[in-house]
Amino acid sequence: MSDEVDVKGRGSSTSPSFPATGPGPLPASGAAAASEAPLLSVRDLRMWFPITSGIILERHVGDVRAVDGVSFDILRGETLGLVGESGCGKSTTGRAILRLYRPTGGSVIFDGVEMTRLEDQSLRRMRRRMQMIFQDPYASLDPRMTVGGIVGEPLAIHGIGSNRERRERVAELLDVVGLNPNFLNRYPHEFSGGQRQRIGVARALAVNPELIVADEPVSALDVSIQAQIINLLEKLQDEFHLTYLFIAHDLSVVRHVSDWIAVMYLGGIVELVRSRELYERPLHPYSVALLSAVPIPDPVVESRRRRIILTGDVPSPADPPSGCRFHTRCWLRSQLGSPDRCVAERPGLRALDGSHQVACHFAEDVDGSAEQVQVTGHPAGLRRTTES
Amino acid sequence: MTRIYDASADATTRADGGSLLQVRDLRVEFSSSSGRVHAVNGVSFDVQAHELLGIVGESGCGKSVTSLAILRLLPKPAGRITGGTVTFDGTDLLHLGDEAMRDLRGRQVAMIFQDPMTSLNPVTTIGEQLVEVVQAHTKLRRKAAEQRAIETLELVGLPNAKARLKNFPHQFSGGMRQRVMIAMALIMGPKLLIADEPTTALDVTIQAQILDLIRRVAQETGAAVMLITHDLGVVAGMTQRIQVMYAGHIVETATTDELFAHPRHPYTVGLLRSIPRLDEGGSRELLPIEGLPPDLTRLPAGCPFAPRCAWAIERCLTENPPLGLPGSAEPATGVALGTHLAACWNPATDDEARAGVPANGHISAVEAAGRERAAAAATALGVEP
Repeated sequence: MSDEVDVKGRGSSTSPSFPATGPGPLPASGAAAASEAPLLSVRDLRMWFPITSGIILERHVGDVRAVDGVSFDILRGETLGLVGESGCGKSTTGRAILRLYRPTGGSVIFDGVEMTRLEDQSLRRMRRRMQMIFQDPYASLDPRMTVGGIVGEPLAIHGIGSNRERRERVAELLDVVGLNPNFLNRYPHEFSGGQRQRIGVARALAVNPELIVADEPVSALDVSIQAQIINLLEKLQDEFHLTYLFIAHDLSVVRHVSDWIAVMYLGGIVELVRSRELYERPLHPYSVALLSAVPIPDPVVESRRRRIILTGDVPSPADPPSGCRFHTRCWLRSQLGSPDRCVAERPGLRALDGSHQVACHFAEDVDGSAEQVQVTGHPAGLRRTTES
Repeated sequence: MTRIYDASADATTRADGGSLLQVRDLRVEFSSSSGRVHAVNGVSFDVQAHELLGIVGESGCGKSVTSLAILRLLPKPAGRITGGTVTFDGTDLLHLGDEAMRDLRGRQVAMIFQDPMTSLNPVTTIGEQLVEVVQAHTKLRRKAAEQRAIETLELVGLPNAKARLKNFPHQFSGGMRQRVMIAMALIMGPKLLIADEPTTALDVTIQAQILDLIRRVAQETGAAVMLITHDLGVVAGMTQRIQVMYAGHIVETATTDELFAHPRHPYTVGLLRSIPRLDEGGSRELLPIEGLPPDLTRLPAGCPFAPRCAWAIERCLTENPPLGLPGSAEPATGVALGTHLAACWNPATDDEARAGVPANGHISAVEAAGRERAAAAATALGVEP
């Protein structure tokens, strides 16, 4: 799953098979889209939550546009990392894909089937092929159920196997995720956070899914335990040929596990790129700032870095800024003399350099190389005050 | 029997009067339904004036409890300081009267907590809360206290400070709330600021803002900062000196550059090798620290990290190593502040630290003991091991 492994020689992505610009229907995996249909294909996905006013007569007064025009593809066996700050819509995207919400618009095509129109039985059948791992290993396991009950529940829901077969399968799953199969009759409170997350992973694996949406699977865990779960997820991907949508706020973790990374800001993807390339050459001003803000555990590296410190907070998705949603905080825009285009027109994802997609009118002016970041860095950038 | 490291009064640092805060052999216990929790087990360290000190460790390592104990804010009656001394600017804090202690908190030593939402009073305005702090410590009239609140809010970069005095905490974003918290901590001009995971609840771009702010206000006000965090990345760019804690012990301490360049304690090595680094990407394999932190109600005899340690030798299982010069069996006494110290019988070499594993595929003593037990059990049952 490391981005060193160029799966089946894809990724050179010189293919001209892109549709033109516009918000949305660009295949994520570049040239690959031509040769192989993606397992998951999301197009212009919108998830708006209505804001109502009035107690008896509820009037619809607006919408929280949590997800507003998100498009990407994931190829079978690959990992797409969805990264962004809280409130950017990354978790909502994951949930809308699994139809835990009914999307307001757009389409989600899983292995050729349009998910947004499925109902009842057919939806349930499809859900067997896609599972979720949740963030909080404390809240996502029913404290009154035994581990056997929790991990076996998806099998019971989908009517797979007899009681006895289910028990055997659960024991096998516990073994796969590195827990003692004899723990079957224990309760969640008897386990540590890392062990509980393993139980959550075992539950997700129970029905042999193809796609796993992992929503911040390690952020609630201690650092020494995080690596255990990350390595487990990587091992399982290799073993069962799983496809991951990996949602997290921690760029270091996302970069480590993902083949592709989509950076989200206020309901939209601003950059979609091969994982390695994002760090080496970010092309959206927000990605540049986000990368520069991630601390690196190395004082020598840190002393050389320049931070772009974004001012202000993320605007409300109930009243997003016009045009480019990042324009209110954009350092590049102020450098360019605040062009009106950023306020007037919302930039769609467009391809620069083959597979590298970015939603910025002026992405050509972002030379995302380290030197450029140094120059453009906020004057109050990183200064260390050590005596050495 | 367990030999718990007993630091003498001048255990880890030179005995001069230059330290702002001196903690010696601090011990804290909590009583719980499952027995006594040994949260802090003989911690000794100094903080110098104007210094940025990082305290790193995972949940339950005692880093927060240490800071609460210094301020005598442990939850009563469960938490109890069972030993040691805490001296701040020449004052013995553990024997200070309640009244004097109350006055010292905020005026001399202030604290920033992790979660600004639960640390601010939700039903009064932030102006009210800031003025309350000022009036608790001074005889300033309301107008003057308000003026001071406005100045402090401007110092922490809160736009439109005067108007926002009338706002309630929920009217601020997470980052702005943390700025208010920092203003509240700084308003009396303390000499020491204890920041307990000040950015853990914040997004990464907001975290960068807040860390930048803490660095700036520390410089401007001359306050020393004790930055407590689980994030090695945060301390790498912020601090001059770092202490790594595990199971209520300081297991390693050094200057920031030294600690990252030459980690000696296997736990520090493990922490560094188990986190993905943004600048190294997926090419580097993560080496998790296997197992779990020890149960603090039943600390193992010997080194508390030994059960998870690949470097563990037999001695580690029976004897807890003192914090000393790496490789030395003696507790360090009278060494200069910033000297590299580790509590380990078998510290990692530079090569081993880079690799993240001991040289020669060393089998840890714990594993060896486990294999012996398994073999013995197998023999007893009459089966082939």
